Amino acid sequence: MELTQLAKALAIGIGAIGPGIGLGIIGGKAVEAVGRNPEVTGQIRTIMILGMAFTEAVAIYALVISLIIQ
Amino acid sequence: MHISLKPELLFNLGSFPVTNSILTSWIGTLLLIVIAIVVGGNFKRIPAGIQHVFEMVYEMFEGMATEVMGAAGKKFVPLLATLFLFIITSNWLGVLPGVGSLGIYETHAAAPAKDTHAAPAKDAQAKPAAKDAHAAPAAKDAHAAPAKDSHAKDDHGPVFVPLFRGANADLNTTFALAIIVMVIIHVMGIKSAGLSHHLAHFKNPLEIVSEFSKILSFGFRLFGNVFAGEVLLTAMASIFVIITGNNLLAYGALGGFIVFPFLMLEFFVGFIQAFVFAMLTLSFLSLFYKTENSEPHH
Repeated sequence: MELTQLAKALAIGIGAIGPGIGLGIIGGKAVEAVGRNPEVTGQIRTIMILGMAFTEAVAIYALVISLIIQ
Repeated sequence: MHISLKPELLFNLGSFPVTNSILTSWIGTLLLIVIAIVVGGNFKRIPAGIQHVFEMVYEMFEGMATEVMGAAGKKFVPLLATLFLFIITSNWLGVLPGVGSLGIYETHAAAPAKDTHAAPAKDAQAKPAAKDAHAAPAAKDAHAAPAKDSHAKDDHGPVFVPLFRGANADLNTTFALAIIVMVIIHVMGIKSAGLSHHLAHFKNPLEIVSEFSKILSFGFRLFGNVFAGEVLLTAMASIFVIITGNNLLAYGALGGFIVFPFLMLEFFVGFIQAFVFAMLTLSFLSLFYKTENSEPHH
């Protein structure tokens, strides 16, 4: 029982590392881009949110796995 | 707080099992049909009211499709808009209060229906059988309920069956959508480029694997986001249960206060996921759909 809970925690814990780094990079680069040319803020925001949705999906896969583990 | 990965069976329509998620998707479909009749029925040259919203959706996808695929993309705007509207309707219906919390207590001899998500979620249809088969590990499943304090009776007493469940919080719906989309993509690819040209994409066997992984990622992305949103809302609503205890008024007030920003987040996520689904469909379509002037681009 404890091992199952550990497995659940590890699945989402380790699985969130990569997407976390990725989201940080996306957000940071978006801020840099806005700083460089603020007039395209709207377009950058759209692209950033799309990229974040794809990156976040990786963490969501890990979450699904951790919920499936019984 | 109980989390069930698969939808609950409500009743059988002949031999067709009706689950709570399919009921919600029917309501969403009905809603869309009614809106379509109302909006399409008195279509005006100068848009007014709700017609604005649908023209906006159509123009958004028209712009995107022509940007990615040129003039040929216009053909796929109805598909993209349908996917978008269906997914966003289901997602937004799923976060409404009452979905997941409104339900009935069912009494069964073998009760642990809600905790038997050991079976793959796709087996939801085989639920009546699973219910009986899982009678034995009932005691083992008890630990799956995180908040045992108030739900201890669930192990053998009546089982809570929510009447509604977000349609996309069910792997069956999302995989159905994913499979529909991938079939359309390949059929359109074959129709536009011819079978031999289409098969030329798959000289590398890894490409075939990647096609199946597209289905998986389509299905899991949507399911995961919507389902995780529901879990998040449930967790946030009950985060103060230690302070409030059994005081339902305090529980409701604090829970509602905390859950409100997350509800807004879920509305946003519902929109983003519907948009991402339609956009991915478009970009995968453009990989295989051959237009007259698509050669210089790729």
